[in-house]
Amino acid sequence: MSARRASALREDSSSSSDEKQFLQRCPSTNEYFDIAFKVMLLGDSAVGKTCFLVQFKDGAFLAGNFIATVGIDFRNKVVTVDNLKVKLQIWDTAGQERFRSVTHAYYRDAQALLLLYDITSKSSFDNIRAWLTEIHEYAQKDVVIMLLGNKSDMVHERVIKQEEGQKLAREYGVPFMETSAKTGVNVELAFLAVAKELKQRVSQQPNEPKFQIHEYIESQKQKSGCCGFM
Amino acid sequence: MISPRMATGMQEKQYTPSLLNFFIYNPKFGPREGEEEKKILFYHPSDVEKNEKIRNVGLCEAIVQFTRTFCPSKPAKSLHTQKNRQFFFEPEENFWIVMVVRNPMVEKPNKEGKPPTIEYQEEEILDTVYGAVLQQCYSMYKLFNGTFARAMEAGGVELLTQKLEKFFYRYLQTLHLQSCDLLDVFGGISFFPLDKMTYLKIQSFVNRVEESLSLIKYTAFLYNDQLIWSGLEQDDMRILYKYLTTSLFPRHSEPELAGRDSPLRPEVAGNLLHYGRFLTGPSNLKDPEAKFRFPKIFVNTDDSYEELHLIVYKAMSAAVCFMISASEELGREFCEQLDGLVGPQLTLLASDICEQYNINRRVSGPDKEPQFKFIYFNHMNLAEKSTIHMRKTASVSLTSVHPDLMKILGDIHADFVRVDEDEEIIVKAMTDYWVVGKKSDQRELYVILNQKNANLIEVNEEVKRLCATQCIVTRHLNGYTQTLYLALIVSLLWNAII
Amino acid sequence: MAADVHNKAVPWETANGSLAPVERLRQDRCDSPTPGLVEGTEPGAGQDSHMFVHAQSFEDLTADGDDTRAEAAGSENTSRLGEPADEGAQGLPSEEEQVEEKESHPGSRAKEEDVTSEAWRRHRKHVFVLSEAGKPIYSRYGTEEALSSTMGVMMALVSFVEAEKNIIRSIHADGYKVVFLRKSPLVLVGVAQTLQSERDLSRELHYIYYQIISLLTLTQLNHIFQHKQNYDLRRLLAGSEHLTDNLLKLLDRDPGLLLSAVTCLPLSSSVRDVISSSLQAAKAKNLVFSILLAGSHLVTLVRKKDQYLHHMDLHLLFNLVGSSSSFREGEGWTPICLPKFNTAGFFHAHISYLEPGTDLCLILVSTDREDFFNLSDCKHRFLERLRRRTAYQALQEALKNPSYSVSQVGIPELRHFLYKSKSSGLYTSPEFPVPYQSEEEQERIMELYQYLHSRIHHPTRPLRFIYCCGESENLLAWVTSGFELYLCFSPLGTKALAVSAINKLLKWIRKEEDRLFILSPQTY
Repeated sequence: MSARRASALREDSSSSSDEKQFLQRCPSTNEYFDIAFKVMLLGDSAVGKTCFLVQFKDGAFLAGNFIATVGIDFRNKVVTVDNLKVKLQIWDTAGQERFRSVTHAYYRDAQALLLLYDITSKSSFDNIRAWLTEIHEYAQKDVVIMLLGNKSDMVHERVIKQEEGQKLAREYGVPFMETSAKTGVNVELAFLAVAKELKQRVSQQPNEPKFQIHEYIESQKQKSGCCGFM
Repeated sequence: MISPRMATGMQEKQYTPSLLNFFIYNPKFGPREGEEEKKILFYHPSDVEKNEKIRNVGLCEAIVQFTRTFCPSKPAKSLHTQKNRQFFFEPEENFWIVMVVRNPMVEKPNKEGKPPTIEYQEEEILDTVYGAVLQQCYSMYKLFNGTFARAMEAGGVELLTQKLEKFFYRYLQTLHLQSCDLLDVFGGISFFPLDKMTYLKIQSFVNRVEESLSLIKYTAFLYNDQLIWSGLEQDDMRILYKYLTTSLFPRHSEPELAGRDSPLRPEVAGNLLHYGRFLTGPSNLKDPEAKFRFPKIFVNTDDSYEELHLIVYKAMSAAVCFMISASEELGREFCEQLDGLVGPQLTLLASDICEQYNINRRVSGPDKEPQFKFIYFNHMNLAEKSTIHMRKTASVSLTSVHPDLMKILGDIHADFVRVDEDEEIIVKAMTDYWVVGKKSDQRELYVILNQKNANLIEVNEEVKRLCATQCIVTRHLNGYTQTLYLALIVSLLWNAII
Repeated sequence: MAADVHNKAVPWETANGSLAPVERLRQDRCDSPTPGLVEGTEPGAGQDSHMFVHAQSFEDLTADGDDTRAEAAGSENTSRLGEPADEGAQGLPSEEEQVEEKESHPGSRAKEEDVTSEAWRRHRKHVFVLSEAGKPIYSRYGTEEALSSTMGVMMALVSFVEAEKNIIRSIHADGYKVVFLRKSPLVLVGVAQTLQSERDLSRELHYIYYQIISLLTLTQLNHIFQHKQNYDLRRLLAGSEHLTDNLLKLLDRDPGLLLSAVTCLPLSSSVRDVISSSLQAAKAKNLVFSILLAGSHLVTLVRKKDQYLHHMDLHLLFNLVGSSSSFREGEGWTPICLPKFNTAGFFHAHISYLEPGTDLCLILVSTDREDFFNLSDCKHRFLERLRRRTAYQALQEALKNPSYSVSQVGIPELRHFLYKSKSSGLYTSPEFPVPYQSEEEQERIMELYQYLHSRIHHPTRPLRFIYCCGESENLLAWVTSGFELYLCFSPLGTKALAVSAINKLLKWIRKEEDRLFILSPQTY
């Protein structure tokens, strides 16, 4: 299940032109981009998917009451990866089971999946296996998956050790790190790593060394916990 | 119990509301499981199977308890279900009276073999009306039996259940739930309109009798089933009045009917000739076997708790109630004395009143169907007047308007009750009748106008005009509070116009 | 998609027939100050076809509730249209049996109230939803856990009365009433201290019921409880509490839900027509409804031919949009059941704001679950087309004044009014004036309107007209076959004034009807 090299992009009929043509105009953000990828956020309800996205997109934390996402929420953000404008089309999904049927329908459009659990919720961690089973069933074979233990700022409420996440990630061969949508730790990195990986798959030059997402995030990520960032 | 009324097409059967159950319980009397039956002090109909009684009482307890979740001090007063309505009333601590009334229904026949379809009319029963009827049941019981608590003190549960059984067995048969309306809510007293001179005559008559027969504690004077004078507290008079006008008088009405319209003035030579007679106690003083037992009533139950003999004495259309402490022995001698003293005077007085009444009627012109009808009630003195009700007896209340209009009056009244401020509501029914309701300064007035094409302004004008013609009616003294209540109506109607 | 609603074959007329105008309205009226105002010609009546399923009044909403009244707790026949299948129903409850999500949703709502406290009791309106096993599903105030025994008692009362082949309706006490609504497999209970009638509260409970159906479909709901009577529905409804909370707020404050009608953004008809035709042009194969909203005002609605949207379904969509902030940013895509259309299947709604920071929200409703990109494309086509027109500028301008002041009518004593055109299902009303601007006062005047509405629409003693003088205001309501009118005057207003105000107001509405109503609704 680890990220493998993809030789070509799957064409999606409904958004066919986007990926091929460079320098398109993205209608909702009015930004130009060279290449576009679809990224989906998954995980149980209330693990912080929407906050994670908002932190990445706007650099802000949504404080206050939890408001569940309804269905799927679709947003764009253009990032620069190796001088290339990459548009990330990000699907924020509702974690509730009543929305599963809709999310399933869009799994196969996604090129990368960010799978989140909440380090203060055992059940959200336990459900990761169920999520991975679903991903196997519905997603593309070569989809990029990244496991993220969110809410790393909540030191005192932590119930899932970092090692447990690490172990689970190794078992499935997916990259892993802990993140905080509140402080921003590793949030951008997660998207950037995915963007680099996907970009490299479509535009790898023969002489270019193969991008290693595992190594990249290991070298870049900030350790969470007491001695962490700030 | 069911009174089918044929509707259109000779097919559908209409059933009026009827009494399904009536029971009294005290949840403290059988707190342990298996002892639930002990809670039940009275249950109608009595032949209901024991477990069903227990179940129905249990539901009431549960409903009351449940509503305390939301307001501990104001538990449920009624439960609405598809088939019936249940009314809850706790007149004394932990004693609950429950009345279950079946909704009116329509039975529609089906094709051969199939049982008929029953449609319950869930919106027809007014809570305010039947809640008041239930409270009246208790007041009537208390008038003749005293409180539950006193019975418990005197003879425990056994005595109380006996009393309840004895009273309600008869009383419930006299409930006519299909003809209850707004007047039951008011439970008011109709006062006889009178000129000042006649009123003073009556007052001095009462004074003289009370002086001569010092045993008498309270007196009440009525004419034509309407009150003129009473020495009782308002609330006691209110229920006594109800008893007299819906139960006692109708049972003794025949002989006077003739005298009413032809005020035959008897030649009074000494005390030889008079029309006086006892409505309670001895029916014929000449009878050597005559019994001198009078019904007992309980008044002022909140403080002095008096038990009294109720003597009702009547001559032609005038009736007087004399109330004497129950501890006094009343025999032939006393009754003859009273008859001799009161009989001739009351006969005279009765014909005076009648004469006066007829003069007034001539002044106000012949009776003809007016363009409007009204109900008036004054909360301060309980004065009530209705031109809607032609005659109110125990069995039927004949109203001259469609029952739906009566219910609209009830709806308007319910709206008045909810808001504690002066209000006026004018509605136009689908039948194009206009109904005006006005609440002002503890008084309520309801007018029904048969003016189909009128608009709001015209209704106002019409009420103003009709009111002006009613003003011709000479000033009548209200014996109870000595106020001119018709003048009040007039002023109310005037207010309504502005 | 077998799972989705696709009922071209089923014309709406059938259902419409059951929603026929009530009989009492059949009589001719001559009490109108402006004779000739019969249904279809009143101010605000649509010129061609109507946008909505006909609903004369809220009685229609509870129509199927009334059926059950008649058949005495019999089983109801709810699915009228479409295929009953819904793949969401299969396996879902069992699939996640292993995961007991007891931690629910941390800090979702501040409702950890002491349910035995005076403050809890003082709430003006409580609403509870429970399953037939007595399990809590929703409580407006206080946590479901804390209220589980109370809800158990509620269910016990319901079943006790049912055991006698009877149906519990309500309990009345001084100052409050408890209303029960049995919509198998759910039981809804409202406890209100308001002046509202029992039927009015029952109407509100129906709304809550349909809100839940809109998330799950009735088919799925039935399926779940048939398989596991004891199922904790809160798991499936997780995250939807704020929708119900918000709907209850709307019920307390939004006249549209009371009137069974929708209000429009005041807009000149030429501008509205351009917007409608732009929306009409941006169509897609499976697109059934395109709805453009500005806040709680309808800008326009384009529908597939022969498919009508019930105002209740539209209010549920309004509620969905109004209570979720997430659509503000991106494009939302969600399954939604429109229960008055079909309780068995899901539509899929594409929800997005036209531009960042605007109040204009576009809802595109499709029958196809896979339609996201198609509808996203529709939206962009619509927006591009619209941007090229000057009408867009006019629309932006109109957004600045989504409502109007009652003073425009020119009747000094008139404080507020509601006018509903029955045939179009649209209403108009000015903004709440000074004495009614606080939330409390707004709810109070709504309560007065609710009172007038319930009196005038009494099920067995309906009225043509009602006028109430109180100490704080004078109220008037008048219903004809064409319209419903509710007026609120200052307490100084006289009856003569009220009568002349009706005429003046009706003339004003006639003059403004182009702006206030959608007179020519569009289809694709």
